[in-house]
Amino acid sequence: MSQSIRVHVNGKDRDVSSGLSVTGLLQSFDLDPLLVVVELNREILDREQFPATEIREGDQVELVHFVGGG
Amino acid sequence: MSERSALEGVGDAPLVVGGREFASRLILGTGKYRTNEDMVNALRASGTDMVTVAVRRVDLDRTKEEGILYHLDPDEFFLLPNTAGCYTAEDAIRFTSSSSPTLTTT
Repeated sequence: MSQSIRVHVNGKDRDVSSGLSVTGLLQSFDLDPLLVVVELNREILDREQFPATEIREGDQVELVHFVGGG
Repeated sequence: MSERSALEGVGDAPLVVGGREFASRLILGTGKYRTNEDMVNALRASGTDMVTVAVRRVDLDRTKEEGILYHLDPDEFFLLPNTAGCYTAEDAIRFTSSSSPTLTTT
C-alpha cells in the first residue's frame, strides 16, 4: 500500500508516492534525468545521486533545464 | 613592431578559458531561431564552439516545452548558461553552479 507525501516542486505543492527516489520523481513527470538539473532543499544534486536519493515529506524541489535564449 | 605583425596569427590561436581550448572565438546565442533545425544548422555553419543557453524552471503542467539539450549536443558545443530567468542574485548563483554537473557529464 503506497502512501503519498506532500512536496513542493517548482513552487507548487504536489502529492507524490512515498518512497520515491529523485529518478522516480522525474519519471513521474516524464522528464529525462540527463536533461534536467535537480535542486533538493536548495542543494544541487549530482546526477549520480538521483537513484539513491529519496524524496521526503516537505522537500523543496526545483527542476530546471536549458532552453534557447541568451 | 608594426600593428599588423603583432596581430599576425591571432586568428589561429585557440581561445583558452578555464583550461579549455576553443578553436573559434565566436560565441552565439540560441534564441529567436525559426526552428531548432535552423538553429543547429546555423551554429554548425558558423564554426562556433560555444553557445549561450537560458536556464528555466521546467514547466510541469505544460511538458511539451522541450529543453534545448534535445537538439544541442553538449559534446559538440560548449553551453554557456545565462541567468536571464533568475530574479535574484541568490537564484543566479545557485542556477549557475547548478549548470556544471549537467554540462560536464556525458
